[in-house]
Amino acid sequence: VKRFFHLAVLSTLILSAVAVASMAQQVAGVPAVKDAALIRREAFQIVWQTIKDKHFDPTFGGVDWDKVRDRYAPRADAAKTDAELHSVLQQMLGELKQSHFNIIPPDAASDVSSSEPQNGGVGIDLRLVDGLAVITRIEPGSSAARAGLRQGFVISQVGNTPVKQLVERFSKSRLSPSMMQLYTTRSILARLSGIPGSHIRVVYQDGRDRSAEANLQVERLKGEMSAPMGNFPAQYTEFEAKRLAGGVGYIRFNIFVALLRPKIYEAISSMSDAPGLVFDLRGNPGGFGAMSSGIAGWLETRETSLGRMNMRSGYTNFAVNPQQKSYRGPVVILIDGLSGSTSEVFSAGMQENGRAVVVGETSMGAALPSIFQKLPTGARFQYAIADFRTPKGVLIEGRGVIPDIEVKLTRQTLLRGGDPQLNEALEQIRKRSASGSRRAANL
Amino acid sequence: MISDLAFQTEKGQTMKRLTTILFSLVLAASALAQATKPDSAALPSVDQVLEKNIKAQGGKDAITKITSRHQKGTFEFAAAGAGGSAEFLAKAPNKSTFTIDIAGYGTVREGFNGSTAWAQSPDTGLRDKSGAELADAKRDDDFYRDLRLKDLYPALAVKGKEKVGTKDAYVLEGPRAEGTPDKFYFDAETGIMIRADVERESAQGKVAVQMYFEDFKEVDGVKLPHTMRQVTPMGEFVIKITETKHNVPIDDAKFNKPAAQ
Repeated sequence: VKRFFHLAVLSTLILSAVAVASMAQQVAGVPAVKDAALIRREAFQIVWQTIKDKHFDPTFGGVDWDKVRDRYAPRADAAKTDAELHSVLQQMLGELKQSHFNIIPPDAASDVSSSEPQNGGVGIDLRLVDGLAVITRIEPGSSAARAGLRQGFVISQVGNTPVKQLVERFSKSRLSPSMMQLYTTRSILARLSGIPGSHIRVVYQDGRDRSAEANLQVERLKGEMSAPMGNFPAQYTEFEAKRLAGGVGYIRFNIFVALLRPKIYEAISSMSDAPGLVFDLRGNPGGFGAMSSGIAGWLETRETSLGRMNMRSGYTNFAVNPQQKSYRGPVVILIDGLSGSTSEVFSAGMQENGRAVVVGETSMGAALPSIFQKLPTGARFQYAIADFRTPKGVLIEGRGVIPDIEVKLTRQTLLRGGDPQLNEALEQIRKRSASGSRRAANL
Repeated sequence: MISDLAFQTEKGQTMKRLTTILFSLVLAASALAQATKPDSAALPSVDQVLEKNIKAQGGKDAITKITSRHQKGTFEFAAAGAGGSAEFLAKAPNKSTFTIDIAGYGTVREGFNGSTAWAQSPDTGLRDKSGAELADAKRDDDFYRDLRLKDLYPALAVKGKEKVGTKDAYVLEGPRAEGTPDKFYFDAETGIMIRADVERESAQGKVAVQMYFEDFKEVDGVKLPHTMRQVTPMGEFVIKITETKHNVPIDDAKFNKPAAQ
């Protein structure tokens, strides 16, 4: 009688699929409130016990987890609302000082299957540069573009909240510099999103440091929402594939989710004749861990691995299976301080395997494969089940991926226009295409 | 500082208590081991265990009357709230495929056509199995695996009696050339196989899994497990069978490796 012995590997397959190395984007909203103290106590116990039983490091990085319970249990008991409890739980998880341990309130994650985003934006992307919220990208035709905002301008206030206040708030926290940058940037960007049709007032400094303000209309986002996978919430997705000067292929996506997988594969496949490919993962916080292997398979000609996730017991490789029509030309990956998790698995592995040149700024250093569990309060509890090390054993958590060629953004270069990091990527492709052509000519 | 000292003192006492308890446990275990030292005369032979397993399933005749099987069911990874549908096709003597469609992720497939074993997932793409993976596929995909367990594991041996949950079970160990021996647990009362501990190669590396076979129901004269739990250090994966059809015609081509995209 068949007993599904061959399904023994199922766990590995599925785990690599659901081991979601992600810092999922959260959508702003109004917290739901429940008042059942018993449910909150149960939620506390689940979170504490799960870490106790499943954290990949049984020493918890030197944190006395039993003592942590003693300190936080009374605070959890004293919580009057679910929101208060979630805050206490998040603080408790913060004791681990690691990424991918999060409490995501029920309203902050979408279960809606609709492919249309419920939230809107004003067309601004930004990064913290020397403590200033500098615009790095303006969506063409967006309300910010129409209002005259440009890259290099500095956002100093959103609504009634001065950016300086947000920067100071996070700088006082015990977060690492990269996490501080992440949370501050996310916090500002969250304030620049809202319900389509609403308006957001921003105060900014233009290229000559003149202060100005604009009332920007929130517009429906152009991307699609992915479907949730289990407890991993639906995510807003953006995808862009185009040819740059000289026919170089450019592929940008904001998150690794299944919805984008066929688009990415199709883009790589359609650019087989390109002299090089640029993967722009700046600002990409991660997603499905296994997708890093899948994309690498379209860029590799040999079986390899991007690295290994080490669990408390056992490990799983990010195995790369080369596809028949894989792309053979030079590859450059763009990263920055907001590239996290699966972006880091992909770029670290490709870099170490010598398959890609990494350009930009050091990544987030938040690469712990994790899964999401639902709590009785309705919140999602994200916890890491493994660490991630490159094939040579380099731990990316807390370190990040260090680019081969560092190109830091400055306000001045942004104001001059263009994209210095992308320009460097193109230069690298030009050099490698030329040397590749020379090698081919010598054969 | 006072609380630190208090903690250290308490910890020291706890350690002493633990040491005492552990020492007591070692003594108790040693005494227990002496008292319950496996009595080889009390253990059944490999043949007896295997025969009882076959009988419990419905007997050799009932089993061999079935030459193909088509099952449908569900798959669940509760820890992540993930799940989907599962479909399994098998045909004597050794062909099989299984397909799992995970909502929000995609379709994972594996198959063996009697000579070629393959796997396909949205991220690893399509690939051939070779080496240990292929050797395991040949063994694992034998349609009459339980009938041929002794042929598939020539050095199969009875290793003792253990508890599986609340049940006593005889343990058989089957060495494999490819690595860690497979272990099979047979309910001492009913005789049926209720657990297997296996380690298998995969593209992602070796994986050790405890598989539990539960919820046995008779279909066409043969008792089949309708719930299969895979326990791993990361969580539990459960397959539940909702529909079984026997002796349905299945085109051999369905077991072949799909064309590369």
